[in-house]
Order: sequence, then structure tokens, then C-alpha cells
Amino acid sequence: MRVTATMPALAAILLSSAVLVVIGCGQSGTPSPKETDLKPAATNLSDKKDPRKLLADWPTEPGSGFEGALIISGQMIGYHEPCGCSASQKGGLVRRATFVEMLRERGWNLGLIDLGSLGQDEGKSRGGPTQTRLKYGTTLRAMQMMGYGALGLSVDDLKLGTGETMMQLENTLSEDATSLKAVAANVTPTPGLGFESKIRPSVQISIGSTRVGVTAVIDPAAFAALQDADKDALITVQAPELALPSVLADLEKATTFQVLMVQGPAEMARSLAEQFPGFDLIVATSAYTDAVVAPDVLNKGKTWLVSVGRKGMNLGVIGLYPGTQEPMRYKRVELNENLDPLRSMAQNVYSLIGDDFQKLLKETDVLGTFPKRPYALFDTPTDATYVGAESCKQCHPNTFSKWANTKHALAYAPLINDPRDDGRNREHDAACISCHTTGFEYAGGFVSLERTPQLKGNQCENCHGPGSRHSAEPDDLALRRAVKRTSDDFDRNHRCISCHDEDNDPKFDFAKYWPQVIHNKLDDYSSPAVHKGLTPATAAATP
Amino acid sequence: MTRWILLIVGVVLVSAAIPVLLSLPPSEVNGNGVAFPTGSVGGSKPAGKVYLKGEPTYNFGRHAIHWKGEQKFTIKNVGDAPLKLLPGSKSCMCTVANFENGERDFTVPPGESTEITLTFNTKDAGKFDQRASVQTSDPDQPEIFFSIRGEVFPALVTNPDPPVFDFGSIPNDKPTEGRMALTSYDHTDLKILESIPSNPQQVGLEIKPLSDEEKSHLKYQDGYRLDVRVLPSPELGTFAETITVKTDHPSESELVIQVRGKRTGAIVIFPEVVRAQTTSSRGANLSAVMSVRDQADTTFEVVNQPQGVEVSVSKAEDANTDSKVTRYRLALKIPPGTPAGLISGDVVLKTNHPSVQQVRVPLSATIDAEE
Repeated sequence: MRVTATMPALAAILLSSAVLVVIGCGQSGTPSPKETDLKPAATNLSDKKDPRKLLADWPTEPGSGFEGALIISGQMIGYHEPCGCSASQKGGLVRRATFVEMLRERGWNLGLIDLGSLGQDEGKSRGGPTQTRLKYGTTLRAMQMMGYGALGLSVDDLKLGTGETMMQLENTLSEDATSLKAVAANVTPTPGLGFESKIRPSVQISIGSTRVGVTAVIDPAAFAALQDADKDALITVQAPELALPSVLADLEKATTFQVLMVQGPAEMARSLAEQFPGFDLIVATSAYTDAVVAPDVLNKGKTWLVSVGRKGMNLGVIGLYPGTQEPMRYKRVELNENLDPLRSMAQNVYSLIGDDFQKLLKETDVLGTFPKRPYALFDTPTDATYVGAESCKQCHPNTFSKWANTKHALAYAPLINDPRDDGRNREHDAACISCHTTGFEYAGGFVSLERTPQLKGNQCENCHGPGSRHSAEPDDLALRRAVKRTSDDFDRNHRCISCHDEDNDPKFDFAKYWPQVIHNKLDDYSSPAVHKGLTPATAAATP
Repeated sequence: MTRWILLIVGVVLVSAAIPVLLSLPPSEVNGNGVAFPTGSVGGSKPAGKVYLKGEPTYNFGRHAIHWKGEQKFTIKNVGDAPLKLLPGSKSCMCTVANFENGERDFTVPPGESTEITLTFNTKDAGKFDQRASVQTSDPDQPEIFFSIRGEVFPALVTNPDPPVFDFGSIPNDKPTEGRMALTSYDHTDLKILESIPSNPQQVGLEIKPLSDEEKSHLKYQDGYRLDVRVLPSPELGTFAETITVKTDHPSESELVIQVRGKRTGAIVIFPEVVRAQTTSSRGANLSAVMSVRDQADTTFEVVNQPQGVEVSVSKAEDANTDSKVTRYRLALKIPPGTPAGLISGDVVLKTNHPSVQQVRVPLSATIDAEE
């Protein structure tokens, strides 16, 4: 083989090209585009701790092409505060607002959109129906304060009652053209009822000089399954495939970047992305709490599909660099405690979510109107009511003493002065009260400190059931059996986890904690007095 | 010849650069090009170096609720100095077992390996995706992220999930029905032993095996259809009942179905409470909708209204109204200039409806002094 003068040069070019390819592959900084690949890039610890370094590596200098960012949230499902009362939980509207204000302070142009599903399913909410509705309205107000432009209408939110949701939107959202609007391309409000102006097929948001068009659809099958006798008289839902062509065509005329939020199964989002490749960005629902690490790239790179997780723990941020080689960037931002030192930036949202909302719960008497259900567990008579631990003490003094030295007995105190929350009072918050008092969800249980002071804290009857019948007739063996509990009763049916759950006590271990509360045979029942029983009058007279 | 020497030098330099560039941590790389790391690269200073065997992600698949998962990841120190490992961040339900007994850090000697154990305790049904990280003394990889994912199903699977029927506003003089399906993935021969309604005069339950069509639709192998019925009652207002279904499932024997809603008479009003937050200068135009059954033309006379609020009622000309329901729009105006403060009270309307003499619409509005 003859080596010519050009060969070394060719070899050098090929080798250099290979090097450039290697560098090029690595420099995007974006992990695999597949959602299923969760291998995140290693990040510097100092960046994680200092929120001011979030997104600091994005080029924003003049000439970089940076127009601003689109902030995407969704599926908050009632978690307007961090997800539970244990330490180090993520999320919350205050942190979200802090992050947004921090970016605004940098001079970034922002557009804010939310996929919807703001409220928690009432069936899963400890707060009950009234608190769930109040929280929805408060969240709408917080989103207006933050400067949101679009909120996807969702069947999850219509579970408040289609009429209730529509009228809350009607009465809360401002008429100002640039303020928050509910968006749904395939939902038509019934004309004449007044709320038709608050549900738009699409909205347009300016981010720098980029005009962003945002639309959304809801899943007709989910709407059909919604239990609400009034729904069909108030709104009409059509197939997304029928509604989107004209909406997209309008947006393509007036905007340069089009976003579709899909309130339906993730497969529906993917299918619509493929059917309507004109959209630059698709926001899909997620079954997971965290946002995707990297967008799913569809339609030969034209469309990105993202989901931003559940419970409001994360935000998705899309950086806009129109006309450059990399017109979009994506970053998942975790709303964690590192943002808390900057909270003063979001003082208005902090006051609304913390102080105003708690005041609203008190004024509305959420506790007093909470729908109580009969205690229907074990063989407890359904007419039994709660008597309080002081009554139990009359015959079970040693058991009472053991309980009185547990955290269960002291469970009410953090509601008066929450040490992890600037000493905020949460005595009127049904979601908190339900696990810090006795029998709150049940007929005859805790109502409020004023009305039922004898039932504050986690007392005997939370585990044993309402004890009025047993305390009145202590020698009735059937009634005794009805209040008797074994470890198997709790471990097998996982009753402790109704409060010691994933959000509020993620490390709860029944086997570890059971020995701390067990109280077998601590008392002596030889005295005739303990067999007499407590009448309601004597029970009430106990201190 | 000189040309060949220059070429060889060039090739050697470029070749040497490749591993250096490949070793850059991703955080040092951005879209505008490559930023060289500030620390030492290439071994001029002894350092521990991380080599992770296998992928840092693991899919546990599907499991019954309350299952405890554990996965080990192996880290080898391929550097020339001890590698220090410290606890990093973690998601709510994920635990790095190595640090659970209070260890602040541990060291892996050069050439040796250690196992990082992630444990996971499932309490909520659904898909999960949890992360944990370990900080390292490797300057090129200061933090390693591990993730686990999977799906957890409850012992008793219901559709809808959770087993709650919130019927919203329902008429008090007619029965209202809801349907639920029940199955178990890990106890396919599930038997229902009994069902106990909290108040048989208020709620009832009928249990049938799922039809083949229902099973196919739900993708259940087997299971039951539970027809919940709220019975007519003269009592108006909210109700909350339960139906306890006892089964032979070995780990979770009871299913408590919650049944709740609000029995209304012939007039249903939404929203439940009209709320607003506005400013003194803006005032507010608020509204509520009243759906009236059993009478085509109903008159409403305002007999009480919160001070300073203008109230009017008009018939809504909505297109979708069926012949049995007529809708009215209640407009509440808080005029601009209303002093700052709280407006709280009921709008009370007297009607000519044969079964509803008057209706109450609560209003709560906060008027701020300025924007």
C-alpha cells in the first residue's frame, strides 16, 4: 500500500472528527431522551445546596439567543404545602413561588403553565369536601399571584362538582387578558350560565419576544366516568382529535411555539403528539412523583414530551433559545428545603397559603361541618360514642399512665404551635386535625378544642373504637370483645398507616413501634368499682 | 519527514486528549462547549475513583402493598487513594442502608469494592420512582445517583380507587346508585364474607360476580361488582355513611366503602359558598347558579343580603337545560368603592316553589384596601 502525502492529513481529519463527535455527544448535557432511562447527570453538591445556582449553567448572556423560560407544573393533587408533615419533604406553592421570583430577579422572562389536577380527590383527602374546595380556590389565587397564564382543566378538579369548579373559576379568575385562564380545547361550557369566558380553547403567552400558544385537552372517557348528575348540562366534551386541528391552526398563525397539555393517560399524550406534530411541546400526566429527567423526543426531534410528576414536588423548566442550534433546553427542578432561606421573595404567597388559608378554615368552620361517618370497624356498636381517655382512666389507670407518656398523648401540641412552621396554628385544619385528635372522622368524635376538649390528642379510642357502650356496661363480654385489639388487628389491616403513612411518617415500622404502645394486663380489675360502669353523667364529670 | 513528525505528535496529543475529555463530569459540560474541570485530572494527585458495576437504576416490577424491597449496587474504587463515601440526598421512602446506623461515612480502599444497599418500604399503592444518592471523594464523580422504580398494588383492588362514593348533590326523594368493582391480584379466589352498612335505612349494597364483559373491560381475572344505593330520605343536608365489606383476604380482610354526599330538595346551588378576594377600588361581580327541579317558572325574592352587596336573579337561557330542570343565575355585585374588610353573610331568597320555601347562598368576600 502506497502512502501518499494526503493520507496523513486525511487521517488527522478523521481522527479530529472522531474527537469532535465524542465531544459533541457529551456536550449536550442532556441524559438519554427516554423517560425510562433515569440515569441523571452527576451534579455538584454546592449547586444542589445553593438554590441561586439552579439553572445558572444555562447561557443567558446577550447573543446566547435566550428568550426566557416556560415553567411547567401539574398534578399538585392537593399538596399546596410540602407533601406531609415529616422533615425534608418536597414541594409546596411557597417554594414554587420562591423559585419563580428568584428567576424573575435574574431578569428572566417567564411564562407559567399548569397541567391541572390541583385538588386532591376528596376520597383521599383528610380535609374533607369543604376544605378541599377552599384549597382549590386558594390555589387558584396563589397561581394568579405567581403570574400563571394557563391552567389545564382536569376531570380530577371537576370531582369537586362540575358546577362548583366552574363557579370557582368564574368567581376567582380575573377578567384581565393576561391573567390566568383555564384552558381546554375540547370542552365547551354551556352558554348562558356565565362561566363560558373563563374556559378558553387556548391562550397566548409572551416570553421575551417569543409568542407561546398553549392549549389543553381532557380525556372524554374520564369525563364520562365522572359521577356528577349535573356535568352534562354544564359542559360538553368532545374527542381531542376533533377539537385540536382548528385550535392548532389558529395558534400556528399567531404564535411561534405551541404547547399541548394532555389531561389523560400518558398513552393519549403520546398518541396526540404523533397525530399533531405541529406542537413543539406536549405536557403529559405522570404516575410518578418526580418529573422526568429528560424529555422524550418525538417526531424526529420536532416535539418534546415531558411530565412533571405528582404532588407538586418538581417543576419542569423549558429554556427558549429560538433560532439557535439548540432551541430548547429542559431541566427538572426539585422544590426542596434549599429554597426556604429565600422565602421572603414570595411573601404574598406565603401569607396566602399559610396565614390566610388557616384563617379561612377557621371562619368557615371546616371542623364543625366535617361530614362524620359512623365508626363501622370491628364489632363496635354503631351507636357508641367517644368518651375520652379521662373516662378510660377510671378503670384502667396504669394503662392510662403508660399512654400519657407516649407521643400519642401529646399529639395535639404541634397543632397549636408548629415548631417546623414558624409556630403556625393549625387547629382548624381538618387535614391535620384528623391524625392529632380522637375520632375526628367519626360520629361523636373530636369536633374542636372548644366543643370537645376531652378528645384532643391520639387517645385510647382511636385504636379501640368509641367506648361509651363498654364504659357503661364493662361486664358485657360482647362489648369487651368489641374494644379488644391485638397486634394482628392493626398489622394485618395496616390501620396505623392511615396516619403513619408515606407522606407523614415514611420510616414507620410497625414491628419497631408496637412494643412502645402495647399495654397488656397493666391493671387490676378486682375492685367492684370498676364493674359498675360509668353513666354518661359520671363520664362527663371526670376531670 | 518533518510533516510526519508533526502528524505523529498531533495524533498522540489528540489521542491523549480523548480520555481526558471523556472523563469530564457532565456537570462541567454545557451547551456552549467544554469547560475544563478545575480540579486535578489524570492522576497527578492520588484520588479514589468510582467505578459503578452495572446500571444505577433498578426496576422492582409489581408487588403487593407493604412489600419491602432491597437492591444492592456495587461500587469499586479504581483510583489510587482511599475512596470516601458519604450519605447524599434521598426520596421519602428510600433508605441507603449503609448509613442507617448513624455512620457518617465509610472508606473503600484502592482496588476494593463495597455494596450500597437501597431499601424501600411501600405504603401507598401505585407506581413509585424513588431516588437516593451517595456523595464520594472522587473529584470526577462527587455524587452518584441511584434510582429504583416499580408498582405496588393494594390487597383489595377497587375501581373506583379509593372506595369512596361522593355523590355530590342528589335529590332526596329518589334513590341514587353507584357501581364499584372489587378484586385481588394476589388472592384470586377472593370471597366476600359479609357486608355491613352503617345505616341500612340510608345505604344498601348488592354484590354480584363480575360478568365476563366487565372482567374483560377492567382487565380483572375475577372479582365482584358492588352496587351501592343511597336510599330516599326525608332528611336534607350532608350525609356520610359506610359499608364495611369483610373478605377472606389473608393480609387485609376489610374494605370500608365511604358513601357521602348532600341530599338536596328541588333546588341545588353551586358553588357551595360564593367567595372572592378583591380590592376596594375594583369591587367584584360574582355569581352562583341555581338548578330548580319540578317547576318551570320559579320566582325568587331577596329577603336578606349582606350589607353593601347588590343581588339580582335572572333565568339562565342555557342551551342544555333538560325539560325537568330550569337554571337561574344569581348575580352578586360588590360595587367599587366598598370599604376594605370582610363581607360575610347569607343571601336569602324566598321562592314560590312548592317544596322549597327559601334558599340560602353564603357569601364570603375579603376586600383589601389596595392592590
